[in-house]
Amino acid sequence: MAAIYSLYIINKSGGLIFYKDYGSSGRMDTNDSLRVASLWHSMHAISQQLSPTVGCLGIELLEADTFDLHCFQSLTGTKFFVVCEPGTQHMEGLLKVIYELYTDYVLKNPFYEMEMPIRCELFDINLSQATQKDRVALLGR
Amino acid sequence: MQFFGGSDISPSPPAPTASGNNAHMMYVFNRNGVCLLYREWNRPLHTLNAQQDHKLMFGLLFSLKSLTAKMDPTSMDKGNLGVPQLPGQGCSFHSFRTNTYKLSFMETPSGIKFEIMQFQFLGRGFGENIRFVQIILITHPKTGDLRESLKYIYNLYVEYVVKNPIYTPGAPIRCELFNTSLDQYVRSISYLLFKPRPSGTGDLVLQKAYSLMLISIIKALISVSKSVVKNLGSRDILNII
Repeated sequence: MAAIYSLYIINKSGGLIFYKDYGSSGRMDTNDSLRVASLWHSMHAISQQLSPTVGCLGIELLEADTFDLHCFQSLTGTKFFVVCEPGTQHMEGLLKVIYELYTDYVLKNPFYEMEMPIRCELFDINLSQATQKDRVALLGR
Repeated sequence: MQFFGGSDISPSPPAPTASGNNAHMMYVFNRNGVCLLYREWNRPLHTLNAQQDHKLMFGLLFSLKSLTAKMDPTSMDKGNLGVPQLPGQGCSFHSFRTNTYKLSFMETPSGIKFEIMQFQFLGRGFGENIRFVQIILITHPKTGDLRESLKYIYNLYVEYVVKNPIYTPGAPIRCELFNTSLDQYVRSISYLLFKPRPSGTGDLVLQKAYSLMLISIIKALISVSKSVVKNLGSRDILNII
């Protein structure tokens, strides 16, 4: 039983730069994940336009019938979102941790080109540790 | 006969006490994306004109539905992204939240067989899917789960609009009774919005309070009885002797 189904990172123009699947049935192929990511980017932008009050920053949580989608947007417009089981706790905390890992292991990597797909071994290793179930539970403390 | 469980609408929803400014606005769309109803209670910001706003809202919901149908991690065979799906088919969503508002969404399944029978009876056109609507309620972001409230609003729609003989299907709703009952209902829920959903916790608090009260009463009784015994001991026993 996986609490987290998948993780996406999209750059500020809506291109998918990182996608990881943690065991959802019916895994998406590369093209579909790219499409879904850019669709999410535009939905996020439209939701800001429909706000009844000023200062809307886009969708933070989407509750679907079979999953929850938590989204975190960094100040530079990079969006991180996880798809998890309905009602999973501490996902905001997890997204902040992933953002920290991104700044540490991707942005500080001298060989990484901005806005390009992420291929950093250290990021992968640390990410798989952070998304382990017991670690996520600790974020609530 | 109604789609959702409850046989009829309770005669009078709770009386409004607080001014309803936690609910921002509400949309009702039919299947073709025509905005049947738009109510606004508290909306300081208008970025677009009304028609474009409705179009954008319908488009957002349509795309989010195809997104959730495609993303569904539990089903094996999902069609391509954007494949048109019948209502009730595929994974849909019931709400999303931003930092300034929460949008709750409900879509009624079509039930085509039932429609035809009903409209034959009412003498209206075949297959006019009047009962198929999408109800969207936009509230404060801290609002809890509103699925039950949306079902209630749908019941109001069935009672006051679908069963209204002079209402033409597909036209914007101009029904005074529906509007007033809707306003009243939204106002009545808007002061409940911040409370947690009814659960066992409230009862627990009450139980604790009761048990504390009981303990203090017992303590008081014991001290009274002690003093009575003391008094007995000092005076009455001497008198008896």
